[in-house]
Amino acid sequence: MTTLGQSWKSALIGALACGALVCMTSAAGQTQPDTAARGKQLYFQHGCYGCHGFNGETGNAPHLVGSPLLTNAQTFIAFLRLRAGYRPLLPSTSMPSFSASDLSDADALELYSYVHAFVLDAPNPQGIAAFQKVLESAKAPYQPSTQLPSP
Amino acid sequence: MTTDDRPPALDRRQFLKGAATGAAAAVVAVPAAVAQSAAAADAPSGDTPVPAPNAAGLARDAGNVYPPPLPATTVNRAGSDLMVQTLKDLDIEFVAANPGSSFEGLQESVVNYGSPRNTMPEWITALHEETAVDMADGYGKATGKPMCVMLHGTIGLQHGSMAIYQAYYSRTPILLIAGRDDDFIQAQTGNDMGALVRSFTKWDAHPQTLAECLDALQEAYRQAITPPTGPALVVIDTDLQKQDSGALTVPRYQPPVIPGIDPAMAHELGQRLLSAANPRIAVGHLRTPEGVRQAIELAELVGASTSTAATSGPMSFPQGHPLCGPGASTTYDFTLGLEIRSPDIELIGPELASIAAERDRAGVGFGGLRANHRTQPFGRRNAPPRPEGRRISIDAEASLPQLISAVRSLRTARSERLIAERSQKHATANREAAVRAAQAGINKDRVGWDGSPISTARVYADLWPFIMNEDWCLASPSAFSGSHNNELWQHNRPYSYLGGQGAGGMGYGAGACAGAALAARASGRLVINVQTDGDLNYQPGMLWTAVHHHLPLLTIMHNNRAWHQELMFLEFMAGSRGRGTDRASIGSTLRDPYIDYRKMADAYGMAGEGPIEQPALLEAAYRRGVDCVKRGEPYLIDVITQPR
Repeated sequence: MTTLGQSWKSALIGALACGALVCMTSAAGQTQPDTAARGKQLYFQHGCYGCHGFNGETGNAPHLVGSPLLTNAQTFIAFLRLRAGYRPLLPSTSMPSFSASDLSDADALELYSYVHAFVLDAPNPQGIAAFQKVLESAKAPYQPSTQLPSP
Repeated sequence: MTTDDRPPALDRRQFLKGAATGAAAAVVAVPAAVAQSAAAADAPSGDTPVPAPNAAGLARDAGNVYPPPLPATTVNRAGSDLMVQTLKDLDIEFVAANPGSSFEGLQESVVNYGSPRNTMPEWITALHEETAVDMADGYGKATGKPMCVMLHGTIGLQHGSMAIYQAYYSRTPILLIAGRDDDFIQAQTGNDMGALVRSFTKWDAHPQTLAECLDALQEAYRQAITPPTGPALVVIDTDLQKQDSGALTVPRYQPPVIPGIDPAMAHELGQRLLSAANPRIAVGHLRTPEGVRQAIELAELVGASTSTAATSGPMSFPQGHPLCGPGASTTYDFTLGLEIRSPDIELIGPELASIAAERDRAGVGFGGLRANHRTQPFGRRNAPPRPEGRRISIDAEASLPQLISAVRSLRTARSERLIAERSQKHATANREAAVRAAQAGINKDRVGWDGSPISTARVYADLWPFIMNEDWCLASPSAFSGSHNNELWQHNRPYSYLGGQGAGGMGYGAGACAGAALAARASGRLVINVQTDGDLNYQPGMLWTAVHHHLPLLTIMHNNRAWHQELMFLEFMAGSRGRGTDRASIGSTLRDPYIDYRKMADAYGMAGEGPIEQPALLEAAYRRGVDCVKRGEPYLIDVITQPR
C-alpha cells in the first residue's frame, strides 16, 4: 500500500478538482442507524476489511481513522473514482478501484458514513501489563543461553 | 553411490527371483494368478449384465491385499536391525512416518530391536507423509540436526514431496528413507524412485546390498549436514530389510570435513577485525547452535557490534546480547558478513544454486535457483540491490574456529583494553536502541488493542508475559500474522524463531511446529504455534500426533476465516478489471460454515478452547494453555482475529 500512502497528497488535489462530480445528499459524519448497518454490510461485502481491518485501524493498508481521504464524502468518493478503470489516474498495486458501476454513489456514501465513524482505539500502553512486560524484557540484562553447547 | 552408478534394478530383481526357493516362488505366484483370472471373469461383455463382484474383487476394492510371504529362510539378525543401529550411531532421535508395507522390516526393527527394546530412534506416528517431513523440517531447523522420515514407495514419496521441496529451499538437513517393494502393488514401486524427488533433494541412492545400504545411510547423513545442507534420500528395498545380515557390522561413521578458511585468510580477517576502529559482524543463519556460540565468541573477542537475522529464522546472533544492535556508532570501518552479505567481506557457504544444475535433471528450473538468477526465492524484481563486498565462498561456521584462533593470537594487551571499552559503549547504546525499538513497536501495536475481532498484535503481546521467562520457540511462520514477534519479543536462542515456509507453500506450519515440539519435549521448552487457519486444514492430523506423543505445543489459531492473502489479491484483481470486489470472497474464504477449531482439536483428543472474539478473554485462555503445555500436553486456543 506504499503507493497509496505516497499518493494521498495527489489524491486530495485531484479530489478537490473533481469534487463537483459528486452530488451530496446528506451531511458527512452524521451516521444514521440504517446507514451504519448498510455501510457495515458494504464494508464487509466489498472486502474493505481485508486490508484495513474490521475497525479500520489494523492490517497492512493505511489506517482509515484520521485518514485525510475521509475528510469529507466528496474527497472519499472522488478518490474511489480516481482509482477506477483500466488506466486510473492514481494507479495502485494493491488498492482495488471502484467505478460507479461497482459501487454506486449512494452506496459509496453509506460506506463513507460507516468508515468515517471509526474511532481510534489506541489506549495508553502504560496501562497495559503486556506492553510493560515487553519493555521490561528490552531493558533486562542479557542472560546467556543455557541451551548453547559448551566450547 | 548415486543411482547412475548402480545396475538397473530390474536385473537384480530377476536375479533374486531366480534364486528364491521354489516353494516361496509358488506362494508368491498365487495372488497374481488369482487376480488375473478374476479380472477375466469380471470383464463385462456388450450384451450381458455386469456380474456381481466376486470375493477377490471385493477384497481388492477394500484394500484387503496381502504383502508377499516372508522368505523360507531363517533370519537371525535382520538387515533392518543393522539399519536401525546405523541410525542410532548417527544420533537420530526420531523416525516419523505414516505406515507402509515397504518399510515394515525397518519399522519392526525400530520398535523391537535390541534388549531392552529400542527407544531411540523413537517411532513418531504421522497421519500424512507431508506432516512427517514437515516435522523433520521443524526439528532440523530447531536443532541443526537431521531426523529421519520413512516414506512408503512411490505414493508415500509423492505425499511427502511437497514438504521435501520446502525443506530443500530451507536447506534443512533431513534423512529420508523410502521403502521399495517390487513384489507387491506395482503402482507403488518403480525402477528409480529417487527420480521423483531428485530435483529437490541434496543427494539420493538406491543401494543394492546390505553393506551398501549401511554406507548409504551414513553418506546420506553426511550429505544432509554438509553445506548446502538439505534433505537426502536412501531408497531401501524390502528384501534388504528382511535378509539376514550374517556377520556384517555397522561401519564406523566418519563425519564430513567441511572446509573453512585457511590460516592465512583467518590471519587477514583477524587483523582487519582487530585493527578496525569500529568493526561490525553481520550474522545471517548459521547451521547449528555451535556456530551461534562461536559467532558470539568472535564478536566478544573483537568487541564488534553485530546485526542479527534471529527475527527471520533460526541459528543467528542472540537479539538481546549486549553487542547486538547498531552499536555506539554506525560508521563501521570494517564489516564481516557470516552467511550474509556485507559491504566489505562476506563468508557465504555454497548455495543451493551450486547443486541445482546437477540435481535438477528433470530440468524444472526452480525459481531462485536458476543460473544467473538475480533474486532470492522471495525476491522482488524491483528490490534495491544489497551492498555486496568481497565474497569468500566458504562455509562461515566451519571458518569460525580458525578465525577465533587467529584473533586470539593477534590480540594484545592494548587491543584488549580498547575492545573492552568499545564493548561497554556498544552495550549501553544497544540497550537504549532495544528499548526505543520496543517502544516504537508498542506504539504501533497498541492500535486496535481492544477491538474485536482480536488484533494480531494483541495475539503476540498478550502471550509474552507468559513465556518471557521460559525457554520458548516460535515455530510457526509469523509473516501472515503480522510478524509482531519481531518488535515485541526477544529472540535470544538459536531456535527462538524458526522462520517461514521454505518455498512459501501452505501446509508447512502445523507439521513443522510438531517437529519443533519433538525437539523441545525432553528439555521442557514451550513451542508456540500461531497457526493460520488455512495452513492447518492441509494437515489437521498433526493435532493427533501432538497429543499421541505428548508434545509441548501451544497452538493459537490466527483464525481470519480465509486464505487471506489470496482474498486481497483477488479483490485487487477484480477491482482493477472494473468488475467489483464483492465476489472476491468466492474461493478465497472459509465461510458457510465457519470451521470450529476447538471441536477439531477435541476430535483429535487435544484440549482447547474458543472461539474467542473478545480480547479481554485472551489472557486467561493463555494462562490455561501454557499451564497445560507445561504439564506436557498440547493445547489449542481458537482466536478469531483481524485479517492481518
